[in-house]
Amino acid sequence: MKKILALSLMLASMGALAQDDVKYSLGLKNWNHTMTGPERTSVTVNSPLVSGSIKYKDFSFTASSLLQTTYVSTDQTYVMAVRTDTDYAFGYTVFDKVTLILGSKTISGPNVKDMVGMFYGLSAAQPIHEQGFVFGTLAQSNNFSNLDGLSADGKFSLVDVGYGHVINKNTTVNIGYRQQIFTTAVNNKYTLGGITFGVGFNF
Amino acid sequence: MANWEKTLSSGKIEDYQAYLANYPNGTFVAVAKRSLDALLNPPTTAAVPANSVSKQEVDKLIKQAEEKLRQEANSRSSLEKELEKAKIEAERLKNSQTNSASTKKLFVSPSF
Repeated sequence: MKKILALSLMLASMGALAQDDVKYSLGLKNWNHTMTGPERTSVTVNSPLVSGSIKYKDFSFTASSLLQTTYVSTDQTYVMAVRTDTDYAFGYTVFDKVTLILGSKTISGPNVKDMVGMFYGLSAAQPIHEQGFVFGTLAQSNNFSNLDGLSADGKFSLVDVGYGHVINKNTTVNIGYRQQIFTTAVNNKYTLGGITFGVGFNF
Repeated sequence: MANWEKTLSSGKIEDYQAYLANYPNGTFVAVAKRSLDALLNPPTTAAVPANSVSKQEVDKLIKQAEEKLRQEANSRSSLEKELEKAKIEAERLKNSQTNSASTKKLFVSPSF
């Protein structure tokens, strides 16, 4: 609900801030990824990712979400995890291309306490030819709380890279690779990696 | 055919002269005189100016004019094609610039 509210507020503000200096971007992606757990267990799922950003000059704000995803064991006998991610991040762009990011990530699931962490990172996009560009986002958190249900010093890292193609002045499509790694305080490591396909809209 | 009929229909000067000499009071004296007069004094045609053009020259001039018109039409057609190409190229460049990833408008919303 919170993420829907945030995205709605962002969209509603578009009309009020209709200036050349203000830019808006919406992203929709599908992330086909495999989660590998500490016992070498793995499961592959598709997760929808939505994001919206508003940028004023060099300052930006992004709200993004990994919509509810259920990880079911390969033999379909039990649910390994259910998660919904909600992220907010502020950015400051330097050199016209690289955005420094500071944000917060919340992972929610039914019947479990929210896992929350602040993260920092950077995001960038670089044209490589007339209608193509590469993009990437790196993020890291060193104090992810409650990852194992107890401790407050879990770690989270994100790598999201890809290639985008400009369809027209408002629309891009992209393909990429995205990996998240969660490490708990007792060194249990969960790696989630896979291909993304998406579309982006700029206003 | 009677002798006077042959004479009057021959169209020869000497035949008319012979008819008039032999029949000075003949029925067709007036006709013979007119015919003889016409043969002796044919109507003068308008003098051809020295600088006038012959039919061949006229044809040549017409062909030259036609060729010039054809060349002008081809040239105009060629120019129109060039203009059309330039318009298409300008439109392509405009779209390219509008859609180009190299513009500063490129702004990708990240997800975390």
